Amino acid sequence: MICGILTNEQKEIVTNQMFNDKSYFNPVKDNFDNWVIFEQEMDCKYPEFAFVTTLPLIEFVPIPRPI
Amino acid sequence: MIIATHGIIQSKAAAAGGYDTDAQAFFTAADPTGLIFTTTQKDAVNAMVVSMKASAPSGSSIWSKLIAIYPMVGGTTLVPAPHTFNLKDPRDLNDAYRLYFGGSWTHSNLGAIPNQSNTFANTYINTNVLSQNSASVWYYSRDYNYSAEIMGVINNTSTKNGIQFQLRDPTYGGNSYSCIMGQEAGEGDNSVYKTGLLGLSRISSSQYKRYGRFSGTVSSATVITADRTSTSASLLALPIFLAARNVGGTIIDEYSNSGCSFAAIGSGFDAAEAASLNNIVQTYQTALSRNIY
Repeated sequence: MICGILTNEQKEIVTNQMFNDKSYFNPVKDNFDNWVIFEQEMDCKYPEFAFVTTLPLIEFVPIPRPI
Repeated sequence: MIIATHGIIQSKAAAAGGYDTDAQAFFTAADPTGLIFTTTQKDAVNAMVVSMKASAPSGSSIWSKLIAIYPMVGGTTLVPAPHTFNLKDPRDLNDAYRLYFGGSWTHSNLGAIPNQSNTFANTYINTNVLSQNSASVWYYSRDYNYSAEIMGVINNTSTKNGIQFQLRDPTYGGNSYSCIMGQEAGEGDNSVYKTGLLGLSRISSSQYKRYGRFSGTVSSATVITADRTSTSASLLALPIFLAARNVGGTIIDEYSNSGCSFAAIGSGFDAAEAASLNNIVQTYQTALSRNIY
């Protein structure tokens, strides 16, 4: 799954903000300590968050979970 | 012009008279333009409402025992709004327990599909609006190839008091643990079938029941009950999440990838009520051609 990398500043900007009229951004950490968001969030049409449409993309590697 | 106006009036009258008033209120709120829901979708929702109101195997109707019903119908990823509305109270308000989605869900005619990485839905239903010894949660799960919570809210990860509805793929360690209005039971469920309508229900202070289709044929619709010993505990002023676990209101974890085609929350159901709800929801999914068995 592809995700977009946020800077720490960008993460603070989008946290608790909405990317459409019914959905919130929810940045999470990947296994390389990046803050990331995913496809639908990066489709945001709100101009104040236009930067999310051009985030650098990487393959998402989740933090391993304990069995 | 006169003919056109007359036609519109006739159409509205037929619509108003054709559906149950609660079903119609949901259609009006979730699809104010009237351009989203198909007749098939409306008929399916209406039939579900009528059946829930008519079914009362233990005295109270299924409809009256639920405070939130999420039909998960009509939404798309571009327009998720229809998936947010609570059929029991279709106002666009937190107080009406309408959903807010977090993260990158996919919304389609199958329902709302979480991505197991950052998706959750806030119901705004704190467990303390339910009763300590009478509560239930329900989720029509489409798949389960991961280990996560399809519904959850707990106080912390030590005592795990609250609601925890885990689906754990055997490759991730086997047993699925759960709790409702109490601490996690020591017994897990490694054989529980993890698709279809799944439920947790507490109707006593010492025990809750887990409902689902246990291992068997895929076509089996038999609802099996598993009793879990668990003392009920004090309630939380924290909301129940779908497809993840709300931990103390500060952490979200155990993100699920189990597609949701229906969810509901209410008071405790006995086995007869659970079987009735299962039949009604399965009929609803079949009418929408998205039943998984």
